[in-house]
Amino acid sequence: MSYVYPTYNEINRGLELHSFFTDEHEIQEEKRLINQDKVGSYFNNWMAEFRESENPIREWATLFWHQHIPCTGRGQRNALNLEQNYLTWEMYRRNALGSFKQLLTDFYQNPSSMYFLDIHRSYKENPNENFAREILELYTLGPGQYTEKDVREIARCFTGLHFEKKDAYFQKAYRVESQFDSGVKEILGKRGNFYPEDVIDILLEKPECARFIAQKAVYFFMGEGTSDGFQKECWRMYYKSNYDFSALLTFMFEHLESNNPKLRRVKSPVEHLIFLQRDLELKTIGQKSNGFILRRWGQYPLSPWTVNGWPTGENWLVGEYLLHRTYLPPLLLGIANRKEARNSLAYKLKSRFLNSNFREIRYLLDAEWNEDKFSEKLSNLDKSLNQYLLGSSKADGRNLVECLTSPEYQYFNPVEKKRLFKN
Amino acid sequence: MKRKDFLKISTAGAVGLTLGNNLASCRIAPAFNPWKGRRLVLIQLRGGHDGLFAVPFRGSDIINKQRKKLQDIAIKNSLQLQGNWYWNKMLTRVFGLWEDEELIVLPSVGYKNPNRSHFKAQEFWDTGDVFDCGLKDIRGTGWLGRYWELKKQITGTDPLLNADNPFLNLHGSPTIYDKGKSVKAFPLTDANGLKWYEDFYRIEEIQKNGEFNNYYLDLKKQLDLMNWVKDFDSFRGYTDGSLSQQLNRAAEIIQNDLPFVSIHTELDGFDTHGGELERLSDLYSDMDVALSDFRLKLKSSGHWKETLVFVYSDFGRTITENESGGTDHGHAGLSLLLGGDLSKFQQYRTIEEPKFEYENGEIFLQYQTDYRDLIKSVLSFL
Repeated sequence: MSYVYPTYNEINRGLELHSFFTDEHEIQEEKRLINQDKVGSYFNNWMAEFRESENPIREWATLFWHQHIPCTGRGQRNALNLEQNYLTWEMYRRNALGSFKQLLTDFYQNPSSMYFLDIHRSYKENPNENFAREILELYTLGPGQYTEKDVREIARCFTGLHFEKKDAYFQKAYRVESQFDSGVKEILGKRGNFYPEDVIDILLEKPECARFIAQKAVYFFMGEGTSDGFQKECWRMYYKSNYDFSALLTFMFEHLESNNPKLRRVKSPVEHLIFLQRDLELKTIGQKSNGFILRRWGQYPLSPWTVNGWPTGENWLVGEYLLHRTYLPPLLLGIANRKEARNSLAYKLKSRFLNSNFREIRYLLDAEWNEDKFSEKLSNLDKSLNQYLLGSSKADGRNLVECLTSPEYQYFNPVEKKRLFKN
Repeated sequence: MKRKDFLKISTAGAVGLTLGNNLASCRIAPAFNPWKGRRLVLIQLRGGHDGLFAVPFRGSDIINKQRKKLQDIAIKNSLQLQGNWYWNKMLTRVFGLWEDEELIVLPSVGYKNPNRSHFKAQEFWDTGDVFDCGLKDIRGTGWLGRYWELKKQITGTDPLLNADNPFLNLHGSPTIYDKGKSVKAFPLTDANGLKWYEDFYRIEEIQKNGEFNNYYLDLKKQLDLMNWVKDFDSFRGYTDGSLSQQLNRAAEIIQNDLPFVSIHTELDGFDTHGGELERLSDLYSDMDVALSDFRLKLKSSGHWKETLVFVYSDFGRTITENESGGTDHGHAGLSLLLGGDLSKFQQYRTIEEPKFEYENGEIFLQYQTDYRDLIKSVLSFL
């Protein structure tokens, strides 16, 4: 095959793709975000950790909890909002491998989630049922395990909660006792003057709760096609360990079932981007680049589609999400390959960010890559990608573009991914 | 091998050659069989719409007492529909359709023993089947998908019937209403990506794996779809999620006779647990403009008589308002039918007085029209 030298039009098209960098307003915003440092780039730092770390299980579990108990962010316009988003994300990250009880407790007191689920405006008279319904149906017991009466009684327990507000910035949660319904409630057959903490205890006492979460976790980390017996072992184990997620994960990854090569699941967009970067040793660093890709693939952190998070499985392989996730990676690689495009873009980026304290400007097209190290890795890429794909015999002889656009590449296999985790 | 050399071979090989050989053929939009028959435009108000705020009822002490604030505002700004039923002035332009007999109002649509979870309620609406009384072989399929497959069995001659994607979603959310055993809707929210991917248009050249044949077919169809609409005015900007934009796109699709019998749109944000007045004001102003403009456009191009707009929501909301100035998940909800030819829906012309039912001591609006009957009559329009 001969190398087709890029034409002027092709480069232009390449630049058009990245035109989001040329907008003056966006550049200003990028600079402002950079100045926020760890707070502004909370998600970027998390992605960097996910991509670079030798054992990114905490990052992966963070994604699981964010999908299981989603919460919206507070917009990017205000620096204080960004700090709030950072705290929300830290909440998931801190509790990702720990106890589910602690996560739920932190969640209902986190101002962003209070705002998202109307917890902050529920009063003694006519309490707001929003959070009560979702905690039963989506976070703990699952559909069909409760009655409408339980919803109302739990709503009564979560009354009178507020958060401090200072300059439109959400702060610590507190309870106004006079607005709290201190009457006797009856939840799932138990009677008493319950407080929010008691509700969480009552819900976690139910084995159905462990079953519901463990089944989701098995699907998330192991994929489709696990046996019923394995799922049962998992949720019993999770219940016995008093909802310790690290115990469940260790059990799952060490179980023989996790060696089944037939297990698979469609990667969610965030996973797709991370695993792609891990496979290719390429990096798309920067709030804008990650945002550009993830918004087109349909999953942006702290912007869940519904209170139930994002769709799963084959639902990602439809419409424009399918189109973008299939063709964007080879397109970006193709542009990265064009010398002129690379140089001109690298120049543009450099000149714009020369004086900023943006440390992670090694964008896809940056000319300052360590070329020797990179080419060494890349020379084995074709082979390793083919091995990675399911049914590797069929994938023999494919080139990079074909590998990236193949349907097999949209799935992941836990056997492969297990290699990520060393302990 | 150096990195550059490697990329030269891999990307330039596949992309470059495809580009060189087939560039000319990519530019021409693929042909389609134009559809000139009747069409359905579905509008789903996501989250559970408080129908009693859009269509308030004046003559009930229960409503007046249980939702004092909301009812006061709704009644003060309303126009009379029929008897004690009124129409919220925030939707004034749509009221013009009522006067022209192009609007049918069904304030209490639902089913027996309603489920108040968003996800279950939507599943019932989409599948047309309340769980535990349904048949196993229709699980996971939707009412429109099943209807279409049945129609395909009976009359296999119509050119459009041979198309596998006669339905279109103008949003990205997953849906079930359109699913059959082989048929499904195609989502289309944006045609901007097309210009980047022209190089990959001839995807069939790398189609080798039989197991994933649908994957490549879907990609090709998606590119076709975007090619058909890429020059439309309404597809120029980026998607903003408003109903106006979606209905503008729907109007342009209908006016250009694109082969879709059903177009699904959605407006999110009706889950008004708090601050209902502010939220609904925003949503209604969007709905009002969107629906009236849509009708004007289709009237001027002569498509209005062949179009039926069906507005529905997961469920209604509680009659009782909560202390956050909102309402919680309720029972029966509001549905609307709009169209130039509503002769098949005469039985719904008279709006019946509301009935109430109790659950755990709380009062709710009781259903008077079963949603499955309504869906049946909507299908009879096609």
